[in-house]
Amino acid sequence: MDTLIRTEALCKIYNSRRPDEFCALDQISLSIAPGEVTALKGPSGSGKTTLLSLIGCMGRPTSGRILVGGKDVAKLSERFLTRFRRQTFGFIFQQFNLIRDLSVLENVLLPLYPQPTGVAEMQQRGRDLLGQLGLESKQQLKVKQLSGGEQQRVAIARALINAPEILIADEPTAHLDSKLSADLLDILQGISKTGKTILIATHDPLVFNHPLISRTIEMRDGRIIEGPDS
Amino acid sequence: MMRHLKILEYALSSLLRRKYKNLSIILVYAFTIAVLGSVLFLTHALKTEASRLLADAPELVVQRIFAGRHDLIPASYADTIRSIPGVAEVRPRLWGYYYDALVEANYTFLAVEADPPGLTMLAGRLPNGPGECAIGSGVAGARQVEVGDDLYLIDSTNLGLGFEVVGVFRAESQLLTNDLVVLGQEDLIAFFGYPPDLATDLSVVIRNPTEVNTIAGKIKRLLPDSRPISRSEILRTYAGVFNWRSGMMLSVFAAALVAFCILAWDKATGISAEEKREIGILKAIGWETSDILELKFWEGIAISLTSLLLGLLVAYVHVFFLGATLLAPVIKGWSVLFPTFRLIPFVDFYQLLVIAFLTVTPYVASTVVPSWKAAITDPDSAMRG
Repeated sequence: MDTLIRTEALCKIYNSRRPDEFCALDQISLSIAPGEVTALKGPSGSGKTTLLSLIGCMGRPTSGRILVGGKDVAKLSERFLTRFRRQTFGFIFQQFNLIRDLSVLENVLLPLYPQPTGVAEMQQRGRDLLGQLGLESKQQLKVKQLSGGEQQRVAIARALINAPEILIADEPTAHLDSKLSADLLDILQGISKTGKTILIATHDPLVFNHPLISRTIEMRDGRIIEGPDS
Repeated sequence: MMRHLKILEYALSSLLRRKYKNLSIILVYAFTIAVLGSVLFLTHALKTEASRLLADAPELVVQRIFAGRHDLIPASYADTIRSIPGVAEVRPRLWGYYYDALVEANYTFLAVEADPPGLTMLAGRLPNGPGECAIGSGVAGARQVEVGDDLYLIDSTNLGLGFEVVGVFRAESQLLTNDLVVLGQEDLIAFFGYPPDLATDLSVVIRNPTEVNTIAGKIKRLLPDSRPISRSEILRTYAGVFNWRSGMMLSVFAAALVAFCILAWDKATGISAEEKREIGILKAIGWETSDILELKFWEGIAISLTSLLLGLLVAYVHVFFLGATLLAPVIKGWSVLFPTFRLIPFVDFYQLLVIAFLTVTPYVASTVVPSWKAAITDPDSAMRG
């Protein structure tokens, strides 16, 4: 099996050597193949979000290795790590993390501002993505004028604007009702069919029981308790 | 290049999103610069005007000193000075001060000369006979007289005398002519009761201006009770007086400046939770720390340059179009009659650079530094909301 993402004995300790020291991840080793849709499931505090943020190059492990496409990302400098993250990952956050006073289109285009892409090309890509997600008519509205489900779709469009290889979603259904959650999973299924690798952290059964999910890894107290590499 | 332009565009749209906060900073910032700029513009314009006017003044003025004070000088001293090689001409001058109790103002009286330096711009003419006078526009305004009217003044024997106004000075600059009353020489001697053969001072024209100091030294040796004053010394005194006044003004203003600095620091450095969140989001979606610093740099530059230009514009209009209404009494220091300012715009670009450096740099730094602190944190925090 090809491996796109591999972690080896990954540990993350917050507030190291302080009275409130906390071990969020403990000896996590796993492999994820290209095109796989993996659900990390477990209760709050189990380490799902920490694992996603380390794989997504948003933080550095205390020890262990993270290999993405064969590259040891933990060793990259901040600048290269950011560039690598920008080119490789798209993120869908639990809180959407949209800038409320910006328009839908501006939010979607945000990752492209520090890149040399021309303005016309940027806008074309943004409009195309919003069209695919049914938001074409709302591109000039401020994000704060949208419903929760629409904001989630804007966040998805923003995650895809860089055409990333890997999509990371942290509790994407946390703020959605069942209908909107089902719609979101349908969208993710469509994205998965384009060959993208998707990692979802969730404790929502609607997600990890969905046919979209090809593999589930269960976590508790910073350890993998169920899954192929557990 | 495209990348920088796009970040600049984003910076400008960010400022628009927080327009009320930024507008309040710009207003306070521009006000500070306007006051600072007004003081500097006015001081510089006054100094430049003084030197323009004094360009026509004699290279050397000789006064007599008695007991350390200015005294009337015997007209015979002129002959002694005239005998010094290099001296082209020596002219006794008669002038004095007059307190007008009617309007509670001080005037400067001057006896008309054949070719009065710096007083060439007239409406009407200079007096050429007894009972005539030419006056500065400040005097004309205070006494509400114009050409053809009579100006009544009280002489040294407490007699009221009428002089026909034959000219009103409308000099390009009113710095020297505003409070001026020019009379015929005989009229002035009679008015003040000058003793015969005495003058207020002597103006000395020198053939070679580089010899001024040598000739001044010779005059001092020949006439030990004299005090030769060169034009450059007068200019230096003017500059010193205006600098001192503007320095005093700036000292008073320093408190406001400090208050502004505290406000600017607080506004610029106190990144709101919303801004911190935005920086976190930008980091999380792939902006580098340097991109965020560039964004904040452009924001700081936009605010400070806008304020700088606005402040300088206000200062320019205040000083050169509105006559520096708010600062004139302090800087100008006229005892009673304030000239209506029609200053010629003289702007020293070095001073502009100093203002720009002293205001833009600290503001931009105080905007970028705290953002740098927020930008170097792990984007991981954005994941946790």
